[in-house]
Amino acid sequence: MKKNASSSNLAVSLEFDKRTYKAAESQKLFFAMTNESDKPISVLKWHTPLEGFKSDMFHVEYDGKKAVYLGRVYKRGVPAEDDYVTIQPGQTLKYRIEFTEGYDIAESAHYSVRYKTHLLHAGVEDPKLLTKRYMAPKAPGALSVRSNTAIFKLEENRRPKTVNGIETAWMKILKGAVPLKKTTSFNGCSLSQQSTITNALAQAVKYAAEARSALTNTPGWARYTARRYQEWFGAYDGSRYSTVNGHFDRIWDAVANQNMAFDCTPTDNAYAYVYPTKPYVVYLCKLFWTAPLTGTDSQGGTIVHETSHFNVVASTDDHVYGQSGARTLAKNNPNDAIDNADSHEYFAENTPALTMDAVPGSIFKTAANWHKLPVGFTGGFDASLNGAGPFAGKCYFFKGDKYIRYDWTKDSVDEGYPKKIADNWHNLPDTFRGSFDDAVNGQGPFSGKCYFFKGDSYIRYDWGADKVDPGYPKKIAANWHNLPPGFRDKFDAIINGGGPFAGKCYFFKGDSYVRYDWQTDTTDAGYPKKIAENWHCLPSGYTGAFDTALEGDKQFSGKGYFFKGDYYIRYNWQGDYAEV
Amino acid sequence: MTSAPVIIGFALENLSSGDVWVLKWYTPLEGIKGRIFEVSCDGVEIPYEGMLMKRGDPEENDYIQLGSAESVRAEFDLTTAYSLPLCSECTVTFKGRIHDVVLNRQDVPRPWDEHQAIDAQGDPVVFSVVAV
Repeated sequence: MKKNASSSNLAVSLEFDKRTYKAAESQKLFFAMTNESDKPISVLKWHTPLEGFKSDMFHVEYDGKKAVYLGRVYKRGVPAEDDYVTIQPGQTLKYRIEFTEGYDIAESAHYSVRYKTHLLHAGVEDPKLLTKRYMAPKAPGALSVRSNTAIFKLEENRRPKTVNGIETAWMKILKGAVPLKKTTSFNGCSLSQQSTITNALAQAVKYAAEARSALTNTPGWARYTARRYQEWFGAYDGSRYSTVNGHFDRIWDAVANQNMAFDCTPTDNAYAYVYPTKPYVVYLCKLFWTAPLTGTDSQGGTIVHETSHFNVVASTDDHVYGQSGARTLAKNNPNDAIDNADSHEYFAENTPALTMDAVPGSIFKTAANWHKLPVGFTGGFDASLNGAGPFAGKCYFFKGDKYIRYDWTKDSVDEGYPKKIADNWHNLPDTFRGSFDDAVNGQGPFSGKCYFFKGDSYIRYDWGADKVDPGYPKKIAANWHNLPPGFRDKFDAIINGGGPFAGKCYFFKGDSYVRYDWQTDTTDAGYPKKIAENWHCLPSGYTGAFDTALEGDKQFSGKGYFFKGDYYIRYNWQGDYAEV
Repeated sequence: MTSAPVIIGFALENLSSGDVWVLKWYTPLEGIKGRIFEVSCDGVEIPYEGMLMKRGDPEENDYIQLGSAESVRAEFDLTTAYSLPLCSECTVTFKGRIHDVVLNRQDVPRPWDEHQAIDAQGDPVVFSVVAV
């Protein structure tokens, strides 16, 4: 700082510890006061960082706006002697504060910060005398103070601590303040009715909280088959599920946090009604008073139902009434079900109780679903493989020394099968003419090739040339990289991932599996893993020891088939679960 | 927005050869207690501002009996549930869903899951809203 004796005595310098900040970072502000005069200066600590954030002492501006002050505001009297600190000539006092405790720095922007120098009370007099001057208007010739402007950039938005200048409720709680009490108002309700309503509202809060938690906490793969959701809202659809989840977030917020009003004067033959454009007033009718507190068409559930009607909450309609109608609606018209108030009520009441647990996938009989399988080829396969290049659209099942060819589009075995492997697959080495462990197509850099595995060895077949490449068989361990011990031979099944798992190849053995990356040509880190812990909705008996696995193609794309004995399961790659 | 009421007449006629018992709920015979109309003015859909009600099962007096060729009429004020802007053409169509039509006296009243609904045909009402 340039020293200029005539124009200032006290120089305030502000400096942040960084030029730019990320959302999670703290922001240290260094506040330094330098006595640039030749006499000692006493400075009142009030309205300076020397006392922490007890005053709105900075101008904090960004994008033409002012940041909101978060600290306390004090009504003070007259300072005492020890509220002052003395700075000797040439001395600098430096203090550090956490800036975000004083101001709501939430929006990503460039900020400029200036100290409100007029707040500083300082002078060359003895503090005892200075205190007397405190209440007096600013005398001419008093100390001059100058200050710089500090700037910083907030790179990422933070969760704001204020909304429209008013602290958010959770911020108040963090500071130990008591949040505004939610009030319920009544019109035309006897004391006994008020008590009933209070209990019903408390039940509605419980219902809404549980419903919202059930929806939010169900993992993605389990949502496809969760019975409780399907019962009331129909077949799983990501967008519909998300809509219903949002509905319950807002239903819960309304009953838990908003001020609701209840009108007991109506006499209609109904449970209750609301005007969707007038939150949060609920008109209670005849049937409400005789309904049970909990259960189907309960008092608690009625409040959930009515709250869902408000346009600001979920804007539901009444398409059908009653559980029976709601179940039918879910099956036949899920788009209306997610817009139906009773459906939300029944989901929340959950009577009879259903869970959001996923349902295990089905076990299908191979011969019943794969067509024209010849005798001896209805199960117990060794290996399976999709054709590629000139053989695209077909798949092959191998058993012993024979194989069959399946046409995906026709969804049946082609004429003339089974055939002998050695007669139709060319240049097979002696040891590789049947009884394979499994086979898989190369991908990425290895497209156009397929691999047959047996024991500790494998061969590579070229689709274009329709024969085994020279130099095979080779040892698996020497050519497939970073396979863990125990996973270098005798695989049960091998399959390429689909959907979000494309580019990966899965080798199964016993109850475990490893994942191979075609692009990097190596096993991914962290394997082997347990099949049952990572593949979802596997039915009992189908958590390992598969015979073979095959990727679906054509109209069956997006599915993976895992065969065992005479049966198979069907895996949905996108949803990451075994289908019913 | 209009401040004067907009009175619309509604008539329901029994075109069959026998008596019918009709559930008045969700028809103008009970006033406007649900989203039973499609209202649009100059092509813009007008939002519903009336009530939505959670109902139980109907009682006997929620039905009205109509003999063959008999009709019943009611009037309702559209503005109790819709705010209408100044416009050259408002169209009001009753959606037409009659939630229960009963052919035998002894079946009246009956619970929701036994209701037999029909969709009645009717003409829309068209009018304009002008300043005075």
